[in-house]
Amino acid sequence: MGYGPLPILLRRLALVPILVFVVAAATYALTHVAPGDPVKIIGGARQVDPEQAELIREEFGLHGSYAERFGRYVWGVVSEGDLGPSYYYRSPKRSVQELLGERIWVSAHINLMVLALIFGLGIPIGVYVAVNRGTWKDPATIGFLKIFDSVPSPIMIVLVVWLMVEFLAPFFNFFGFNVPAAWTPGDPASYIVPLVALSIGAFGGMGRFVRISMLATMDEDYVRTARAKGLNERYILYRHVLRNGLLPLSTNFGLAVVGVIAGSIVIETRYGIPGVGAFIFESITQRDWNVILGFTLLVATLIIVANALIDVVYIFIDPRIRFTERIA
Amino acid sequence: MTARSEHTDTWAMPDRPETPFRRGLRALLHKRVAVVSILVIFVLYGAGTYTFLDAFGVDTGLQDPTKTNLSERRSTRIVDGEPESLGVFAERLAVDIALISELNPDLAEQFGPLTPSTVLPGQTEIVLGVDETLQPPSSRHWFGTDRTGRDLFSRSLFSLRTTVIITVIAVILGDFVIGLGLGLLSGYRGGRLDSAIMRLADLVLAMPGLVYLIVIVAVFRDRVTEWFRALEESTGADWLIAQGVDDYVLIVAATSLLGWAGAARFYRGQVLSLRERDFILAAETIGARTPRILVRHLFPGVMPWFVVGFSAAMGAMAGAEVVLTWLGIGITAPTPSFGTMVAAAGGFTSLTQYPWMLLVPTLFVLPILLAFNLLGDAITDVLNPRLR
Repeated sequence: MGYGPLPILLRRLALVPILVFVVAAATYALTHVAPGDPVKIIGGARQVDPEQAELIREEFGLHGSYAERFGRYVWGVVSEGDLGPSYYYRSPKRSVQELLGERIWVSAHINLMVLALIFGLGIPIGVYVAVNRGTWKDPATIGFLKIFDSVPSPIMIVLVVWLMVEFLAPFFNFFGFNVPAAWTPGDPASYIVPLVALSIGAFGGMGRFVRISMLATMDEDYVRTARAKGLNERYILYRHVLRNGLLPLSTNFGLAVVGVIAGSIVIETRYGIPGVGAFIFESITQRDWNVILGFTLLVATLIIVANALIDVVYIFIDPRIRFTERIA
Repeated sequence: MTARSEHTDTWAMPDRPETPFRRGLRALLHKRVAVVSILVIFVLYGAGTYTFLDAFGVDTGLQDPTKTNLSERRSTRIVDGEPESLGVFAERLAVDIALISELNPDLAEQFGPLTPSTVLPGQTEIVLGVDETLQPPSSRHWFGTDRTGRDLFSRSLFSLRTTVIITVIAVILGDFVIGLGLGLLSGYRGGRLDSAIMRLADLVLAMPGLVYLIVIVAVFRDRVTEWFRALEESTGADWLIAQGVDDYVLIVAATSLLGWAGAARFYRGQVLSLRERDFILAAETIGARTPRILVRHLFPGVMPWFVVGFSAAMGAMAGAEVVLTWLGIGITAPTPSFGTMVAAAGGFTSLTQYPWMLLVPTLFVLPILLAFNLLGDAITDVLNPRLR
């Protein structure tokens, strides 16, 4: 194949289903080979005799050889988007896609708001410290923000609730908000805690990332040329530096998504948000492997597709791309 | 920070030209943030290492971190169908009756003043000491106690030991042995081996790390404990599970399995440029074999970058322990760790009532993560002076 934008683009997109399949195979193997007999999990504490065990296996699609089971699973996913039955919710029998589908919108809209916050505030912070490089403001801002980056999410959520509910209550009351100590459906004030807890740790890293890529761009020849032409500093910053300095940021997108999803497992559980994150915590406790498998596949696919789309966008924005660094 | 100190010490003119490593180290030690971070890490890791003495039977002067300071409770006996009198009870257990009445006001209220001749109904539970649960920090328990009266100061130090073990081994195994090793090999040998290793790395990088970490640990949790139980039976080393070795092995293995890919890819990139240099050609010409070239010639070239990754990975690992343990799949109950302490601290209501339960582990975890975080940044800055 050639080196024009189109072949690169096609090659990049062709990689997506292959990667998804290999990741799916690895994840399936992980959850179906290692944990012992799923029949024990399904049967619970009851003693299961061999005949019953066979029935349970058939009911949950666990009969036959490993290859048959995996084939059935893949076919189910591809043909009708079926992620299989949950081991825990079995009377009435629920499928993984139903269970995840009921909860995904709560999580998705919160997580998207968090991502918007991380990028929306992280970029200006990065620009601010890059512009103020060499002064005390630069290390002080990043150092201060890194404190929040160093608080693990199980501690962060409790501290944020305490800060918002005890400490800042008068402030929020002034604006007519009453921040609840747990998620209350329909109350806009209950967004404050999860949004803060999920985003606050990301600003330090994001700010530093933007700063480094801005500073690298500031050293480019075309910036020097612009300055030599006598252009206004502000104009150079926004028209020349910012545009190119923000390009590498797209590589951070996948990382940010994974960070938010992982964080939401803890935050949703602790704050009582009925989303996918809290559900996954429950599934880990119940050893509900099909749910964990389905969720992991969903996240992995999301990341792989997102990364591919970013690369595609990159091809159009930045003609210098030669795909030497990132494949996935 | 600023470039002020770069050229001040002209008096320290070395006889031989300074190696890049020494020059980097000197620049790093001129950064206040880096020095403070290194000090914090030394103090906390030193404290964690100190508790290793306990495993060798040396008296550390710390309380047993798993010992609950619950008071002893004993019940009165029934002898020949008759409940024993309080005098007999007190004599049998060698306790003072005055103390018993002081510690059991509810009994005194119910049965009148407690004397040696008082006969309580059989099987009455009598409290023989003071509960030390949920005590705020005091001179006896510097950081207070938790719900079962365990001393949080000694629990913190023993949790530091867990952090030291997990972070050091996981980073050495994942980043250093597997990541750096495969990266050097892949970059230097090239060809099929290189493509195979790099495709595998791509695959691992395409999987969302923390989510898979959770899955892997959850999947192998029970298995690993079973293996260790079998190992204990066959070798007679009965301290393995009690000391939490099974947890350590599981978490370390899982993080190494996922953590090597980024490191390998990065070091490969570095080696690709290094291997074209003359000194490698010279080494090859005099007949040096691959292992020698990797260790003696390529490794020193990527060494500074290893320190950056090292610092970031240590911090990430210490944080991952807290999250995994909180999810119930990291370190399990008797082994002290910051994750178990945070999980035991409970939520918002507990924080307002017993703030020390959450604040104590936070005061250890936060400095560790922050120090590694800032140290990693500082080293990157030293290596990239252009971006300072």
